Amino acid sequence: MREDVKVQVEDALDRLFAEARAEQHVPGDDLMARLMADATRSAPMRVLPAVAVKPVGGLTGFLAALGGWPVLGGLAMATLAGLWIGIALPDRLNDFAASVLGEQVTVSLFPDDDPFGLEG
Amino acid sequence: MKRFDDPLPAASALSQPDGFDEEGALLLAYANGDTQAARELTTRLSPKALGQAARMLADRSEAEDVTQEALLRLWRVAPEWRQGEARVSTWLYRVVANLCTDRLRKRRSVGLDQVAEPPDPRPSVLEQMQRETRLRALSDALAGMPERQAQAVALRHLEGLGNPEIAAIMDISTEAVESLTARGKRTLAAILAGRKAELGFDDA
Repeated sequence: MREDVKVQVEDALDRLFAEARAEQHVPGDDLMARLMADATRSAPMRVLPAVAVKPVGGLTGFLAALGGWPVLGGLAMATLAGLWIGIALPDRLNDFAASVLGEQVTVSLFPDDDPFGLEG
Repeated sequence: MKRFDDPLPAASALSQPDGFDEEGALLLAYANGDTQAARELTTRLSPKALGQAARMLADRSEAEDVTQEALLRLWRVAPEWRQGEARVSTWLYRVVANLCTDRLRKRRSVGLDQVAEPPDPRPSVLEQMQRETRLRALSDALAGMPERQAQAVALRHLEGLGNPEIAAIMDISTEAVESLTARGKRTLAAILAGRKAELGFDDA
């Protein structure tokens, strides 16, 4: 290539580069929609590490079935309350029944009369 | 020919310790299920990818396809992305450059001069056509060059990047970049010298 032609071409090339650089390329709505659709479709799924479930038996299994250690406190309290009611309350229960029914009520586990007439 | 589109290139070649890679952080957020990060990345990166592709290919529709393909690849490497090894912008320049030379290669095999539409005589349209014809001629000339030269010339003169950044993108030394761009520009000038008249630069 002749030197003057070469300079001409290189000048032209530099202007061509400048022209190309000056071009504005703005993505349109349609392209943006395509790109976002791809991004959503390719979104990595979070894979949680598998939690091993081991079978349990014996006391641990029994406790787990009840709901674990925290439940045990409530259970113990309910048991003690039942015991206390059973031992301490019969007298007061009588008073309570009298006030509700308006008369003295005696509740005996061993009746004085002989319902079956066994004593002649 | 050596390819350089490994999704996760060697740390030494691409790491640029200057500055935090915000786009890398967004990519990690995307990998962790943040779709807002994907929107932000798309807004930031798509004009860059589209511009680079459009300048190399001089074809809007092809440039849009390249942009879509490049971002799709980005979403796919997201789960393996390691912050600090490569900058997203560097990675994207590389992928777009490779996708473009792939398309230029196909164009070369089809034949360069098959599209010849009669020009619309209105002055504004003619002006537009001439510019498009010139830019298309530049793109076709890139298609006629060795691919590495074409990529180096495009990154240097169409993207306006500096040699160190081009070196990181192409995974070569800055000396190799200088050599490639110098040879590339000579090759390009030689190809375009034969088409000077149609480039509208006769008054030069």
